[in-house]
Amino acid sequence: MKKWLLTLCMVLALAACKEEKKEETQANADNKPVIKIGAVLPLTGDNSVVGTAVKFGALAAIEDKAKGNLKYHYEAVFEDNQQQPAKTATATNKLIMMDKANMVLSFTTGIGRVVAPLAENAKILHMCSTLEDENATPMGKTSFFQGPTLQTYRQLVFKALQQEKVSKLALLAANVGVACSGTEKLAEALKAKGMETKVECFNPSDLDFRFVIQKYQAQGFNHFYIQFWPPQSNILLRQLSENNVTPNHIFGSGIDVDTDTSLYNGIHCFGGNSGTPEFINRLMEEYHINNVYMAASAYDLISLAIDAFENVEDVNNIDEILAYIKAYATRKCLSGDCKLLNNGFIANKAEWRTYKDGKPVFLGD
Amino acid sequence: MEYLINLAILFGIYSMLALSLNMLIGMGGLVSLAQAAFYGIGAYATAIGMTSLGFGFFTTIILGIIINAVIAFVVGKILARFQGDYYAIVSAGLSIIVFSILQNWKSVTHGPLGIFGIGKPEIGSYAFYSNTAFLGLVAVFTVALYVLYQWINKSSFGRVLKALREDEKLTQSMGYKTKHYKSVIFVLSAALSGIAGAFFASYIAFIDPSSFQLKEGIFLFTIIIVGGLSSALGSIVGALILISLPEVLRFIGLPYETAAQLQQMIYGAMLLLMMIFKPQGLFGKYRM
Repeated sequence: MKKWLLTLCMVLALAACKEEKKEETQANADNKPVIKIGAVLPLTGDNSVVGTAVKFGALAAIEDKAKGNLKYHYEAVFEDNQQQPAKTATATNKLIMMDKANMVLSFTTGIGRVVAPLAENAKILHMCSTLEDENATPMGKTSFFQGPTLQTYRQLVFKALQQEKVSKLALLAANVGVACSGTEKLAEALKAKGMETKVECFNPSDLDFRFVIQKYQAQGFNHFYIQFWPPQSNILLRQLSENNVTPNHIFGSGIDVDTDTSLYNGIHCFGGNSGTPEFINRLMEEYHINNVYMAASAYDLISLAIDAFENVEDVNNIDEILAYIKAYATRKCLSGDCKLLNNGFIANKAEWRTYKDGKPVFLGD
Repeated sequence: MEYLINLAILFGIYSMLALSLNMLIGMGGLVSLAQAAFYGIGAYATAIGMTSLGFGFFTTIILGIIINAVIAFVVGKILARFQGDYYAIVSAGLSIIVFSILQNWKSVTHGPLGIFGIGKPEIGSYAFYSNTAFLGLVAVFTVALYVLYQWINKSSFGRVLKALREDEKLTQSMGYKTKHYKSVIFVLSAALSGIAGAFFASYIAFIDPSSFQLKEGIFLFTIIIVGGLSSALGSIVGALILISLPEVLRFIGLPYETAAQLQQMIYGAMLLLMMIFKPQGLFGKYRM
């Protein structure tokens, strides 16, 4: 028993001693100094479908940048956090203190808020691929969050609803992260524009929405706006179909992330940065992933970080890195221009698309 | 070294939780899955107290203890009517109710958006900003809880609890009001887990309801099963193993494509093996 405990303590101690001395960089096989890009993502658990997409978006960016003539060799280190704050803290500390990561990539506003102060204390860059909370950034002086802003999103959804002549809309959202609060704000904005709206938020474990669908149908609501991730979104789509809600009466935010894209035929899908058609195809073919929104943001953020590391004199000088990033007002992102707002939020455009025979069809932005 | 300090802080927080839960399950034989709820209430008392009400960290600890004690007193009266599996199911219900409140009472808890910017403890002009100082404070409270556990364990109150655990009817026949004892240990255990919640909120600086779900209660239950029921040392060792094992697995050099999934499988397999070869836990004095 004592031996067992002693072994555990020794393994931990050895792990702690590993690379204790901070080395500026390491050398790789090409004799280029190494820059480590750490990422804390939900690679297992409920949100792994999205976390995996972010992971591959980051890898695609490193792969593409490596085709050019770079000063450094970029190496990704991924750690699983299962989207839990405590696991995020330990994983981030491991990346910062043990792996000596030069930057950390995270995903979603809540997790970004755990990572931001840790990155700030360590004086390293932190970038977060998120949904639509532009108020998140003041949390960290070394952090940048990217996503479409709430306002951009609302305008696009309203444009789509107007075009489809929707006057009554039932909005259903998962009570997770910014999904529910964002949907409530969207409903308020639509109400202010004269639309009749009803909002209902569900716990992450809820899987039966039939009663709610029928309740709203009885009240004359035939159009539905939904903001969920799989598996809830897929179940909800099936239950809407069972209740004779036609696909063109369904408006979904970030729902089209399943590899079975035939699920989304005819549905109005909204999302953030979805990338070029080549990027979408590449994710599908190389990585078998359709969750382009988060993957594209991760791609943009890692590309930006690599540009910063390549262009500063000292990669360990966070002020230089921040100055480089803050110097641009508009930057070319995967699907158009991204704007850097005053608070450090990188706003990318929102997109509206549908699917025909499983293929995405762009409808507007 | 700094990484180990961070791990040690979490280990200390989970040790406090395990000690408070082992008082209830190990000493009293009352299988509760509600510990995550009280842990969450303690964390939210600190988060709301420090960010919205302007209270100091130590004031919010007392606030969390009081709120937990009041809730546990009321709920404990109901729970005291149940035994065995029924006690566990009702306590799981409490955990789900508290999670739903944290998730949906948005004007107070900010719902799933959580509360961020939670400060560090301060005593006079001294602030526990550094992780080493914070660890010192966590260690003081963990040792205090350890001593309290041992003191209760050896007290006449603790002996009655153990008798209740072995045979409630027999204990009643000896003139003890077992419902009263069950209520008291439930209130004490809930109040103490609030302290761990306060430290967690301050350490992570951000909390949302996802950290206080029923599965967290099951994780705490696993800690004391692995460490051993009715053993203070078991609670500490259980927390050490379950907090450090996933971290150790991060270093074993698995291929990055499947590392996260393989780590989960190895972690699960090690727990399975441990239960096969040490079903009473490492330092268990009582087997369920």
